[in-house]
Amino acid sequence: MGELSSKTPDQVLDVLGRVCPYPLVLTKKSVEKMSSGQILKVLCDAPASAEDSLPKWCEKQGHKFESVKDDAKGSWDIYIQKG
Amino acid sequence: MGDVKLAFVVQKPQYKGETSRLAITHAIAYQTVEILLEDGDTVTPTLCFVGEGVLGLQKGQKAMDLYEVTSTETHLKNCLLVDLDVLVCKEDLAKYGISEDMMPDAEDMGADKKIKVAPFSEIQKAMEDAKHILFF
Amino acid sequence: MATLTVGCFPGLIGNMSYDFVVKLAGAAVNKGHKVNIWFAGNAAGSVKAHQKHLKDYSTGEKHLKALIEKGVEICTCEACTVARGIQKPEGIEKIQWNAMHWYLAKIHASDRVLQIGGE
Repeated sequence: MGELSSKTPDQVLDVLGRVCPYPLVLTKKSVEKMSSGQILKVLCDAPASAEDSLPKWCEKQGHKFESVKDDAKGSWDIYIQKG
Repeated sequence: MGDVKLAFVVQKPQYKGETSRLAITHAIAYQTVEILLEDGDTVTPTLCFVGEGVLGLQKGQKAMDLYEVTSTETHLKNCLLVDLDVLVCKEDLAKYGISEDMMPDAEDMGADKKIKVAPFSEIQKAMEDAKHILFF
Repeated sequence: MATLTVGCFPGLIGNMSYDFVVKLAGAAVNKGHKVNIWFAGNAAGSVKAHQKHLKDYSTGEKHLKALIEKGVEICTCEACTVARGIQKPEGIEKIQWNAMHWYLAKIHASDRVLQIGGE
């Protein structure tokens, strides 16, 4: 378990079945409403979003990012801690 | 390079093909393009519906219930949620007998932004102001 | 030298718009311009590798590979592509897979944009 994934998230966002640009757009909207230090868990099955867009955005915005891939389901549990 | 204005002009009716819907999602992607641009660079789209493109925008769509696909109404609501300017041609709506109050809003999602039913002259101005025009 | 970005939305088979995009991109790159191509909608179905080149049908793969060799950047909309049952390992090598913001970012840096509509 990683640092973020071992904690209980403050909010869960389910974007399973949603594709670009929605995973990042909806994540941005959720994070905007959260306070610094809070954790958002994003359930995502869009590879470009999980492996590229979301980590890039977090890095640019100064949010902590952690990703746990479920190979069998082809989905990711993504943990974002607002910076 | 700063801000680049784009006009997305939708001329085909929703649900007839895929591109009229792709116009909406491509315009919404202005919210995520920041990850590929330098700091200070932005893209500002205006989404314009003209001609047959004004068809299929009405509220009350049941595409998810009936076909398990996201409705155009939901995509439009997401536009409003991300503060995207949406212009629908007033003259073309009138031509098809569609009243302005049939346009959806996204108040239930917390969006203040509304679809703007605008005369074609205003849509033409948006196209003139854009660096690039993308027809769908 | 200028930068041209082409948004290509029509399918490979059933029309000549796709063929036009490929020809145009080739002409532009041969003149020394920087060219980007974005595939979305039915055009995304054309990035599958191992296309058989039949003389009676349009073909994409060999032309796309030639364009890439000349420095053309080609990217397919991941969502449009996986929706058509094509996974990244099945795709033509060196074609990028990304989200719609790739297209907008390329447009941002372009002198000219051509949006070739599809179905």
